[in-house]
Amino acid sequence: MTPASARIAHDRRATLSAIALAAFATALAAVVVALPGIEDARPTLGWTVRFALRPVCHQIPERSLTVADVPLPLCARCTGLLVGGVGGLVAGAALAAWRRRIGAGPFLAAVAPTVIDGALATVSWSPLGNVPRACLAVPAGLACGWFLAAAAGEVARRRGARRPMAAGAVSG
Amino acid sequence: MQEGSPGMLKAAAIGGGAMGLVAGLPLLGMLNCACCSLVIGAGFLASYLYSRDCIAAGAPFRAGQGAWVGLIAGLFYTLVTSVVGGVVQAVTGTSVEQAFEQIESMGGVDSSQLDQARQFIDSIGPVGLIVFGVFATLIIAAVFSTIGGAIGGAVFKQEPRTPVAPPAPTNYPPPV
Repeated sequence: MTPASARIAHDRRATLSAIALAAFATALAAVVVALPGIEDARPTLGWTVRFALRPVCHQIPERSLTVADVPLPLCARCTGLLVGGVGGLVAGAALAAWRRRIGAGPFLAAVAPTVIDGALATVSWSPLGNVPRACLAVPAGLACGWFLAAAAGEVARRRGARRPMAAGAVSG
Repeated sequence: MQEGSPGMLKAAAIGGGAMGLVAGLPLLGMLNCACCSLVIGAGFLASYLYSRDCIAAGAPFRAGQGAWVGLIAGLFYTLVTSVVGGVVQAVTGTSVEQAFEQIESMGGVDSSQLDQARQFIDSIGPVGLIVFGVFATLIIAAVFSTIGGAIGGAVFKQEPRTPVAPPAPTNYPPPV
């Protein structure tokens, strides 16, 4: 395998790992958004999803977005983070985030609004409604998704690079 | 760990311990309700601290190392938050039944789910409840702290310094 073809193979491995993460996050987001619609027909699925997501989110109905007047199984902020995360993972996989260098500044700028809002909500002063709270969390999710795709891609690339070449392959 | 890289334990202990302490406190622990932000923060903080150590040692820092230090930070997080949470519970005297009443007053929880949880807690007893709580925290902390560490690894990644070649000698001996 020539160095060029090896690099292509490692990049493909990185892309695949980022796509796998993005697919998982997309499936999770689809279940979260569609759950109010399918919960009546499949109550066991609804209960299982809500129970599984319970440790990561308070799921208070008054603080959750609703579909057909049924609250989603995640609060507005977590829904925004998830939706943003899907976008960040897809963008990271499509634009090869592991090959780009974005420093801590943009990341902190994206995360800061929802951290401030979360801190204010913790001390029982939250001026925002559910939709603005979800929108505020989307940039944070985007940043987390992008950097997660970058991390997954980089790890997959390096693991591929560390593997010994296939027997019989001619080193270029 | 790569050759020449500093040890991960210090960064993991500070990151996981600091966030575990915050999570164990009564009001601040609620920050975890936002997608386990404190657990993710533990891995992220440990990753940041470890990147500083790597820079000081002149070693590279990559996303994979961030994920590892995040995982270890998750273990420290579990340890500290379990101890602090236990101490806080002992001092404030909050019983399991009071915790259930608080959850009910917050609303949004099906009463049948609460009854199932009550039956489950009654069946495993107080020691079983502690073991179950620590184990559940450990799993959640391992997953989310690793994610936080990996994100931190991508944010703070540091390429290895290229060794500087010694300057070429300029005082050549005169040609014979």
